[in-house]
Amino acid sequence: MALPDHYPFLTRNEFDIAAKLFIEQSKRSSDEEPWTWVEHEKVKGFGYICRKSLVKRITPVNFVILENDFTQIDDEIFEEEDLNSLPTVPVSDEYFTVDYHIIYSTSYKVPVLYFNAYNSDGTLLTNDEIYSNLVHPLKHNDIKTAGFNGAISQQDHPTLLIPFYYLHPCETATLMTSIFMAVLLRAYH
Amino acid sequence: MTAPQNPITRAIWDGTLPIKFSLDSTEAAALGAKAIVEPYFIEAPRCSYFPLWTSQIRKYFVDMALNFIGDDAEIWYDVDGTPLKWHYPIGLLYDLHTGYRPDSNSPPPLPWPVTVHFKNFPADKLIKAQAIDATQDFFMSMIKEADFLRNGSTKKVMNLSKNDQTQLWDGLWSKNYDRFWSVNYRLVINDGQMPKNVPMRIYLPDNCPVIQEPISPVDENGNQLTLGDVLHQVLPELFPSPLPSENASASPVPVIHGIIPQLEIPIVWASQNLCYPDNFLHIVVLLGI
Repeated sequence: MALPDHYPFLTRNEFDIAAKLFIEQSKRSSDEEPWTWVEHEKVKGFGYICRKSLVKRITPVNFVILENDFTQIDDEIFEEEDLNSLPTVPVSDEYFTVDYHIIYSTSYKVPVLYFNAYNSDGTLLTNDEIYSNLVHPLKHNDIKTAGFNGAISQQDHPTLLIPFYYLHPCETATLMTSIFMAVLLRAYH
Repeated sequence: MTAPQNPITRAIWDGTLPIKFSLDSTEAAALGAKAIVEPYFIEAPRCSYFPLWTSQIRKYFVDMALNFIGDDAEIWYDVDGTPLKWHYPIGLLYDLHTGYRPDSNSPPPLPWPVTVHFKNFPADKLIKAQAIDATQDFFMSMIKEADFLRNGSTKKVMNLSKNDQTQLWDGLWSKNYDRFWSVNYRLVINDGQMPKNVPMRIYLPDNCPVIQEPISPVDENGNQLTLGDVLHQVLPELFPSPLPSENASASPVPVIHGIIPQLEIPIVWASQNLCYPDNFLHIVVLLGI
């Protein structure tokens, strides 16, 4: 298996190649919107990938059901619903939009997940709403106590220079190593 | 505990900017101000952050009969209609937004006119957060990132005692040079080891993304790179040579702390002596006059 020279650290060029391969892969999975590549309008070298998802809001009523679902789904934090099977209740109340961007960090030399979540009127979800809707309940504590001030916070989007939430990248390299070890183990057995 | 004597870091620490804060006039009326409210003047350290001044500014305007009971985090600042990123140091914001070239013949735009807003927080343009705590978090995450750039890990910062970590922020907040630099000195000097990369950001005009490439302080033969070498390497079109241009005023210049540093200084020296308290060398590039 070929790995970049300094894996888990990537150069920007390695990130660009991997991200574009990932886009191709995402096009083959039928049920979700594929990821797309975006460049800065004027300056080269600030490209990233993005995808919009419609996510069902967790209300006190459906929270219990979802919480049970969480324990069965290992690597999906929440279920993204097929747009065609929306229930009859108004979309605006039940769903919100999440804008996911995966951006290369020149400092940490790893991909970083940036995201913003919008209500149908364009307002941003609050920090608390993000935790209750997008973070696995069993992980709340770990994520809130990581680093100086939790692993999720706001930061300027490196390309757009507007506020985005992001998952702090200082432990991403460790995670990427463990993913590769898991792949190796699976190949070995 | 006193910090090692360094007249350069001391001068940068002591650098201040006179700022004139005016109320947005339409907001002032909506918030019940009956007469024209006189502006508020402060002299703020260049290395400080706006949220550290917010409660003082708020008190002044509320004392002037402004009816505001909201949270400090609702208060924001703009210059000529552009919201100011409160997580940037004040001196960087001034250099960036005034675009004032220290080598120009005109006087600097001082006191710096800044508008204060108590309403309509632009959450699509500015990070919304609880004022002072959030500033501290940003500050510490910058210090952590700088450590990662220098050493490929954040161990040096994370291994600081809780007390030393607190002392960095407290020193900045309370304008206590010795408190801050006695701890920060150890980070910036990096135990005498050449850093892998120099923590630096370059700001260009016209809303370009901030440039933050990994910058090695030495070339492949181990020779130290100068500031001019680095600018030439990162922005060859703006800096076609690592040496100063003959027609200085028509050429782009780097501005740090309101001065144009010599291009011949080694980049490591610049990083250790001219960095902001967040450990980054923030360089504003201004185009020719």
